[in-house]
Amino acid sequence: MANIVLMPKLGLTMKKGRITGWLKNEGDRVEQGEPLLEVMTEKVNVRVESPFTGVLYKILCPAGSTLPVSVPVAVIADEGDDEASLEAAVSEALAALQEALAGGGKEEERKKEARPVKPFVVFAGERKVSPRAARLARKEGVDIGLISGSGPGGRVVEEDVRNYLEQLKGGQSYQVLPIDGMRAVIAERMSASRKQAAHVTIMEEVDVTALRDVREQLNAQDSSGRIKFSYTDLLVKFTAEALTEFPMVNSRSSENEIFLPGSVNIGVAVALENGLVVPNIKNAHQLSLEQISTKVKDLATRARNNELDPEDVENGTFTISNLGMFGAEGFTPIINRPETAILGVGTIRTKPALVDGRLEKRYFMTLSLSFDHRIIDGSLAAEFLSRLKEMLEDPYPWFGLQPQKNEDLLISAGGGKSPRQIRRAYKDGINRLMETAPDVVMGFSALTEGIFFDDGAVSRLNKELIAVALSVYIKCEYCITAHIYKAMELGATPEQILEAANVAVFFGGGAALAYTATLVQDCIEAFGGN
Amino acid sequence: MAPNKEEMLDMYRKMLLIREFEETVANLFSQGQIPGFVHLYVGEEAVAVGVCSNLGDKDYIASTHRGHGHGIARGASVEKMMAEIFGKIDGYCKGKGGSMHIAAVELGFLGANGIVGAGLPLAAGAAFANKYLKNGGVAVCFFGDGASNRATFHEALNLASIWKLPVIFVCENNMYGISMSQERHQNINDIADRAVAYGIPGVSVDGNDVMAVYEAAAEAIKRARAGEGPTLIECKTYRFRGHFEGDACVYRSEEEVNEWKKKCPIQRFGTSLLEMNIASREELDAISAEVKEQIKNAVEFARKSPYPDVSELTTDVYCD
Amino acid sequence: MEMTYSQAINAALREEMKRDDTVYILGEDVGIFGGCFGVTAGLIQEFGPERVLDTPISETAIVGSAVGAAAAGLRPVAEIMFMDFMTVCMDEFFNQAAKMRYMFGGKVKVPLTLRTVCGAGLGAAAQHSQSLEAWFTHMPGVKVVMPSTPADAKGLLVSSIRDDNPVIFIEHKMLYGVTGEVPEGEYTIPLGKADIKREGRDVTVVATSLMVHRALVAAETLAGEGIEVEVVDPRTLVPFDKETLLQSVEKTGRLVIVHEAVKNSGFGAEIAAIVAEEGFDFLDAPVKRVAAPFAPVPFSPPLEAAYVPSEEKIIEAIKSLF
Repeated sequence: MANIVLMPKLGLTMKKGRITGWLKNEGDRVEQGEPLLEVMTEKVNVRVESPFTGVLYKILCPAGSTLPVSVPVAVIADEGDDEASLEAAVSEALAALQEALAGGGKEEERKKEARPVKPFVVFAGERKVSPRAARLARKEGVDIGLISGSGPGGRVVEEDVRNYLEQLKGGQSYQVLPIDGMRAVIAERMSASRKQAAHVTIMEEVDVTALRDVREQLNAQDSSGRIKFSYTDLLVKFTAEALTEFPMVNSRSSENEIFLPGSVNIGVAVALENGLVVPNIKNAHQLSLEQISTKVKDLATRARNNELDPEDVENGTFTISNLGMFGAEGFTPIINRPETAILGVGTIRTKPALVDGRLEKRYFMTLSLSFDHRIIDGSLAAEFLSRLKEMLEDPYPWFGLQPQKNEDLLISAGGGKSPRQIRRAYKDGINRLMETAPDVVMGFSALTEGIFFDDGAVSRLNKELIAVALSVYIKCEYCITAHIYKAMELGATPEQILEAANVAVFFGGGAALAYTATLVQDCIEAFGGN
Repeated sequence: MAPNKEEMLDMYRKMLLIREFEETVANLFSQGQIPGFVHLYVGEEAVAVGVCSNLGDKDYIASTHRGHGHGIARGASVEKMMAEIFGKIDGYCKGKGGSMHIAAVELGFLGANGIVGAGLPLAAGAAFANKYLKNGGVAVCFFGDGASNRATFHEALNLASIWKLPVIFVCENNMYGISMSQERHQNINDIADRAVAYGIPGVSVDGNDVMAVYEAAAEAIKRARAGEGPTLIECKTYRFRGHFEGDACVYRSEEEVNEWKKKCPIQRFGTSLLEMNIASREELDAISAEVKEQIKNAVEFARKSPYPDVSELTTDVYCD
Repeated sequence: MEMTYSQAINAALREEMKRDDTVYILGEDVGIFGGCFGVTAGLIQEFGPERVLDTPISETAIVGSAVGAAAAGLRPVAEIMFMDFMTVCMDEFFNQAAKMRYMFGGKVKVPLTLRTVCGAGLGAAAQHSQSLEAWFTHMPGVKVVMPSTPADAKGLLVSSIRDDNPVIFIEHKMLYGVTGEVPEGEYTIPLGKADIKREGRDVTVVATSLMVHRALVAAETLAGEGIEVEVVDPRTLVPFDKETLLQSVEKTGRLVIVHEAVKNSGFGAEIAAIVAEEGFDFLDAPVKRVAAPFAPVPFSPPLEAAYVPSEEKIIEAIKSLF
């Protein structure tokens, strides 16, 4: 039967790769494990081994193609395949490839349609490229937009292009790494898992403000300062608790059996210099937080010292992979087979959020649950994650603690500024901005004028609210003030203003919202009386 | 010392040639056949001819914006001069100079000059070269009454005086610096008086009397060749036409012009040639006819000559 | 052999006067006095007052007569004591010398060398310290030479005197005492050939006259910080060696121009324009000019020092490109 070679995912962050060369020609015989093609990811050029033995029947994507991961790139013929079945496989693969690529294209089109966001490029400052760098990029046929600039003001200079080219072509940074040892094991297991399990990942944003409070309180209880609970410790604890309620998520599976263990053995992925290892905490559901913490530290230490025993990594039932410390927000972890689910933990970020109609500074973490859809249904996975979220968002009862009063969380309103003061500040600000950065003012005016052009489809108030969102997004204090004022004049309620401000998050302006939250509150307060 | 008959007839011929040349140019200019603008020498022919008839091979002249007469007096070809004024490739300067920059260095003619008074130091320099090379040559600078107020006049006369340069400064006092009459532009009657300031001889002559000019120049040139330094000769004359073609001459009266026309240097010289029995009416008429023919041919030559190719635009900027 | 810039110029004059009888010197106080800066010292004794001529204070007559003499077959070397005084003989140089050949359809040669002195540094203030070279680069028909070293001064002056065109040879008063190795015997340096005074791969600094020395000091300092500066001395601004400039910028990708003249419409603008027109794609950073501010040369010593581009300003400009 014809085998389809997919664009490999060669790193956690890899979304697309460029085929820099085929090491075999069509018609060549190829052994499984024999280098078949070279793929360049963001960082390295990797020789990818053939996952199958056979004859390279058709190369679907020539060298030079940049492709998303997991799309078909070649067809390898098995012995005994006839021409017709091979051609059928090729057309099927091509159709899949085209669909995948078209999907990407649609995504791009959607982005293009989201016009209101686009013009913000103006405010971010135009990308500067030296003529020399541009010439070299033209000559070498590389997209200068992919190259980050190291010159004054972030200008892309020749050296940046050269460095980029060296990365592309090899050059000084060219490295061929053997896929052997631990790497080979990881590679094999990861791709095997990917192939065998029907991966689905769901994500949930969890408000960990309370969890953070609990952790602080617990750590403060130990006056010796010896015990320091990590978020991983807490996550292991609550995940273990949740798993006891959802045994299917704690299951192991083989080709034709689902095994429901009597214990919860939670693996914690430990990053090593040359890979990762997943020792597990046996019977985590029966351990106290202290015991879990001690165990996690012990396993991690031994893992790094290469002192793990085989049983430490065997018989896991669930895995937690915490990439939060590396700044990852959400991701799609690969299930540690034969387990059937894995929890990815993202970094903690602060965001303003509406709590009882008021803005508060809150802490959020994204949890990503990958599960084997063959075993676990989507609804079940969602329920499990929802339960875990519930526990994490209200952890106090588990430890007999009460919420600490934390004034820092509240974003205080008012600020003592009268509407008149704010309006004057707005006027002064605009004048100042006109002097220092007239293009920003003009650009923004042009943009809002575009929005306010009365096409009859969107109400004037809604347009103003959009402008509020955009103002928050660009963190322009004067624009925020002006548009909140106008919106409220048109009858907007404080809730609508806050909703609009929150929309900035949708544009990727969470930080902007945090930055401007106080001002938004002030404005609502100040103009509310009008 | 005095010119013989042949020389005098040649002087007469040159004066007529200048007159015919200039009147033809005026006529062509008014018909729009000559580009730019032209300053004509009509009425002043006696100065150029009287001075230049004394000059030899090694001698230089530097001229003014009103330079056609000087060139012709120095022996330049009227064909090549006319072609230059037409802006044609066969002109003296390949059409790149025009009326105001006609030059024939091969004839010691250092050019007409668009800058009033610029010729004085140039002539001093050429005189210096002759002196330096000890070739016995002199240099003559023609300039107007207007130029006598310029720094170049004073610096050049002073330098020529202290270095005893073989140069003759010939001031063509035609009574006007463009529109400004001499009595308005300087507080002296005789520009020759200024020679005193530089310790050189200064003489004032009737610039419409070619023989008077000739004699004054002869004397000055003799001194110069003898190493006795420069002389300032003021020739009082008058331009019959405007400062340039198209000048309405609002600054002078018709009576004044007519008064001067009665003193026409060519008529005067012709009359005296007849009176002194140096030439017959027939001879003079024959000369006149020849001159007309010559100028007609010059115009023909100029018309037939092509314009310079655009490739000439940037040539001759530097010597290679 | 080691000699000063002043001695090198003197040697060039002496050699050319010996070699060619038509070469003579004229100018204010060039004879018995030996020149305001002593450059022509001893020449009147050697060649006599017929060939080394003191003139009255008559710049117009100096240049005007030199043009006439050049057109009549001599090779005058005129000295204008300070470049600032070129204003009073501009017509003779600009309207006569520069244009004569063209106006006359190529029928005359004006082999005039006009030596003059530029630059601040002596507290000579606004009318005796200017660097006006850009004016002369705007005159078709004139060649503009600006030597920075004794060896260049000698070789370029010999070439200037032998050149059949009017040449303005601009000396810098603060360089007269600078010493340097000068080749033995007769030699010429062609007009229009730049000299790479120091090779470097990271940035091209085009500097003229005194600024060449400051650029070299800056280059030495920056070498210690890992920036290799290529210092290009055009030596002649007209004709200008575009090839060397463009080759250097193609190599380094960065260009800083240093001149003592005011920045506005200085020759640096021309150099920058050449690179913008013909070497745009070579540039990895904007072109920078380091030049005097748009003000007359001040008298007061601290003001004068601040007026002239310093090594520090050159270093700062170079660093801003990285």
